[in-house]
Amino acid sequence: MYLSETISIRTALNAHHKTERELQEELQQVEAAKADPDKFAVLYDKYFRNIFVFVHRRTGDEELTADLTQHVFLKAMVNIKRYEYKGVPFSAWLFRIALNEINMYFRKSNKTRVVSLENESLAHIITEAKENDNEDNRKLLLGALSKLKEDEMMLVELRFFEGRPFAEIGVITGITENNAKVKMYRVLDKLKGMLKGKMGDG
Amino acid sequence: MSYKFNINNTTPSAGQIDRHKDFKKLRANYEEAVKPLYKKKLYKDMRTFLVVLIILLLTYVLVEVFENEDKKDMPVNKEQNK
Repeated sequence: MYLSETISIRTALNAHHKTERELQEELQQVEAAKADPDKFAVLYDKYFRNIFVFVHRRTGDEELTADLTQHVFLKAMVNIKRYEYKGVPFSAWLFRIALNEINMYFRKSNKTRVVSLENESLAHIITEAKENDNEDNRKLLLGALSKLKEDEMMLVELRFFEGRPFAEIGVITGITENNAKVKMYRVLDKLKGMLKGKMGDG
Repeated sequence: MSYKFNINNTTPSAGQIDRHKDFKKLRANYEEAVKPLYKKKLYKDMRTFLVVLIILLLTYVLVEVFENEDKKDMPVNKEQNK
């Protein structure tokens, strides 16, 4: 797969649509990398762009992204012997490492974290909250989103801005699939409450 | 944590991303990361170097303190003093 100049966000991020056969093939590649570090090159080639785009959406800076991406793959390579297959692509494990690296960087540097999203994603959340999709509500939603805690924002990004399935979100965030669903709905309720509260004030 | 929202921002192109891809560098970093401590050049890792330096200094100070205390505790030989 070669990404076009106008890279599709969903294509670049979503490496999770795999058949059982593809997952088994990938598992063999992981086992080979466990035995021989040079074989990790296959996984590096396969997921470099996905991880780069994932990190870039959260930093907005190319050089910083390159640095963090390299750290992600180094950590993955060093710890690959601890990797356990959980029925989702290897990329979910890489995204988890990436998320930890990103969070660690922003906690240490105290810089403002970037959240990348598309207008359609905002419309999607507004529709889920059973409100009218208009410019005012989009502004209100951005205000509500900015008040979310780190773990809540992480869930919204993974689910609504990147369209990931709950099974993968579970692996990335280190919780079960059901727990991810429950937490997601709580965040949605919180956002609905914030939107309604603001509208009531106005 | 504060957030900055980037709406409909463009993602780097495939060419831009691939410029940062370097498996050889990653392989070299991996070798350095998994190298046993005794094979690492301490002066290259400032943190390890400082830890070792502090341990050595503490050991030196402790040895000095105990040696001085031992000298104080020794009985004074009166005949020698005369």
